[in-house]
Amino acid sequence: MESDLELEFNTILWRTQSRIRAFIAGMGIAAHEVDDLAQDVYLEVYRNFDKMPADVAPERWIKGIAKNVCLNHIRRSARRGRLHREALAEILANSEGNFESTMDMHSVVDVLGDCVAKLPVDQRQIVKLRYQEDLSSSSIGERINATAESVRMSLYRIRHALKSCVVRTLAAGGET
Amino acid sequence: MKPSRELMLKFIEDRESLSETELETLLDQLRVHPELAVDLKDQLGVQDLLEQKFDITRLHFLLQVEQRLRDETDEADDEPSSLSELGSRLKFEPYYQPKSQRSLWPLAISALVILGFVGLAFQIHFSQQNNLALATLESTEGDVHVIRNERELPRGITLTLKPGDVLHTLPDSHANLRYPDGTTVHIQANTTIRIDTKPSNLEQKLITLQHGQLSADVAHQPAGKPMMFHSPDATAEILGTKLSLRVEDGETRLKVTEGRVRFTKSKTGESVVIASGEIGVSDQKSLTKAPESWPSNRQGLIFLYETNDRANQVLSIVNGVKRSYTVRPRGRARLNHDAAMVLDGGAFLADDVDGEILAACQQTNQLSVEATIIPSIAKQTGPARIVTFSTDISQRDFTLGQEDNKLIVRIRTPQTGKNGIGETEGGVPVATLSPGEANHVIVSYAPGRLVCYLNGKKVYTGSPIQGDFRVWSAQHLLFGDEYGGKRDWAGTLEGIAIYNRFIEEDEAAKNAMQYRDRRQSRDSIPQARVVAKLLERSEIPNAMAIFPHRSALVVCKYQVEKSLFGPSLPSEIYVAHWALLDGQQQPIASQAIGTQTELLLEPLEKNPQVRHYFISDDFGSPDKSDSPRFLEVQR
Repeated sequence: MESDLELEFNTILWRTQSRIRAFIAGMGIAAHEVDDLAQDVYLEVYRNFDKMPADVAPERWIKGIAKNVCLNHIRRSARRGRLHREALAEILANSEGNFESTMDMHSVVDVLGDCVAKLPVDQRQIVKLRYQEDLSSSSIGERINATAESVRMSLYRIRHALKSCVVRTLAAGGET
Repeated sequence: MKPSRELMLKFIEDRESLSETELETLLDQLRVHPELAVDLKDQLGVQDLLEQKFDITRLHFLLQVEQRLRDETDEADDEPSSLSELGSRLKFEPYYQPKSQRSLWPLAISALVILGFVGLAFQIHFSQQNNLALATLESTEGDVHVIRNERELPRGITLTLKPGDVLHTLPDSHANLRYPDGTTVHIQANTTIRIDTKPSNLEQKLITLQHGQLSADVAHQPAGKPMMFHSPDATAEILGTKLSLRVEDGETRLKVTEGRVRFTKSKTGESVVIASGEIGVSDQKSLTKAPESWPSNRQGLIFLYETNDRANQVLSIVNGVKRSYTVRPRGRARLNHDAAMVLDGGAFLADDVDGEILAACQQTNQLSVEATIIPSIAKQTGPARIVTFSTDISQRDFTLGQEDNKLIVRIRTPQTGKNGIGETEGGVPVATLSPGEANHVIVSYAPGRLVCYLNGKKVYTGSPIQGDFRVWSAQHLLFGDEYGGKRDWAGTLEGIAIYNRFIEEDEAAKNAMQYRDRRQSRDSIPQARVVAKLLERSEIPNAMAIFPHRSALVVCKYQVEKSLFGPSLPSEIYVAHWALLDGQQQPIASQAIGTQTELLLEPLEKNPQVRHYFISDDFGSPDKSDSPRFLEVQR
């Protein structure tokens, strides 16, 4: 039978993994590296489970680990613009918008799903092409007869609209 | 579009797409305009959530973490080799905020965020494979408690259960869980379970049954990821089946109604596969399985009476005809809610089996009598007749009786005489009966060899009785008294089987296990004991009015004065009593209005055995909402 500790670790993993991955992405980490780094983060959590402070929320503590893991990752990389990327990651990690704090408190995923469903058909089509079929803005533009720039702008507006929809819905006490 | 915005959009789409100069420009903009940094972070965050939701390659993150953890522990010999070991090494302190400062709701909602998100993603892409081991508390009835981190969660909500949650049902309560793949688990009354997940596989369902009983309808599980039920003694692995599991009295019982389940004894690792229609039992000493059907071997079966609502069919040994046995009540004998015989001042007579028993037993000169006996009281005298094939107090072919708390056997042979006593003092004591408990008994005889099995264990073997059955004669099979009366036994009786062969211990153990399982699989009926004052009584039916029936009930109105145990009842209740049994008026007919009395009550609707009797009820049609009817079951 599993120990209480294992179950508690699993509980924390389940509770936080989605937001920690989004937090890592929010530091400017490449999309294809986000999950690998998030795994590294949880390995660190696992190794240091006995050091988790009792007076700090687990997610905040894990975000601290995530920040260090990501910065170390950037420092170790031989990419061009390494110093700029490190500085960028620092700035983004230290920025905390309304949306992120909302995410800590509410069932943002359920609401986000509803918000996607409420998008106009053409916007939902773009979301599908971008996030389900993994097409670039250029490829999407070819499909819908638009420039890559305008697709990027559309995606920006869509994400902004989704964020606003989520925040608005949750502020109104909306449950999905 | 502003240059900084354009750079930002390029960066969001592809973090490698900006040149060093462009990156520096973007960085400068973010430093000057912090709100732009917030916007970028939000955009990246929303984008990642959308990718988590829609990108097929990101659905198995939890499994990937688990694999990394496993790889890590496998590689490091000097490191903890498993999470369990890690747990044993760490001095683990609570990592949550102090309880006094912590609201449960953010925790619960946070969990829902994760669960809902992952669930939604699976719905979109893998709806048919949505196997994440997250149970929802779908419905409850009665007192059901969910404990999380040592605190009870609010009731009356649809709740997604988390690993470590403990669910506890009180008497007369139950709960239903549902997993996303359609697997359902019914938690019965007086049960405690813990919701877990298997750390090595977060899609694997795991429930620990600490005490009580549950049943499950398990959807087909992925290969290598069976649903696991742990108990203190054993583990059941299910790939897709219907089952029930019960932990009680130091043993774990598994019954499978569909599919196959591997049942493993925790201590020894010994395992058996329990197939549809089989039951398995793991206790301190052993792991056994048997067919669910009772009795396990019908060879030599002469008479069968499980309960009154069963077919009780037997293939006649004498003429090969299939027949169904029935019994007739005499005196105060009646049936309870399980359709078992209730005996206290009466008897049940078996119809048309006397000649069959005589002929079949004289063919083999062997006899086995099986019964599940629940004595009402420890001290009974006579011996009080439990199962007897006799004519009066001095003539019999065999009898099982109770003297004090001993089970007494009498068998007629040339050596023991007409009363089946021989040199013994009133018969052979073969077992000690526990009052108020189900005693599964098999008494088996072959010339010179008498054995008694109590609850599947051999408790007596000896040869105090010798001889064959050549001197047997026509008798009457009855239960709870002598045919001529005067030897009343008080208790409840069911599961009676009579064979014309000897039964060995293995078979006795199987039959005991099977019959116990049958009893345990029945719904428990809520009972309440109250002190109440008789306010009004419906008209007492008379024997002529109900002819050709001989028994009837009467509904009375009571004022509840005091509740002794059980669920709370309305201040005024309507109680059905037996007013006539076998044509004789019962005490309720003469009870004075205004007198106080103690009542043991069950819902009338849970007692189907009384449905075909006449019920005198002058209080209008029962309205379940405010005047449910009860049945008095003790007097």
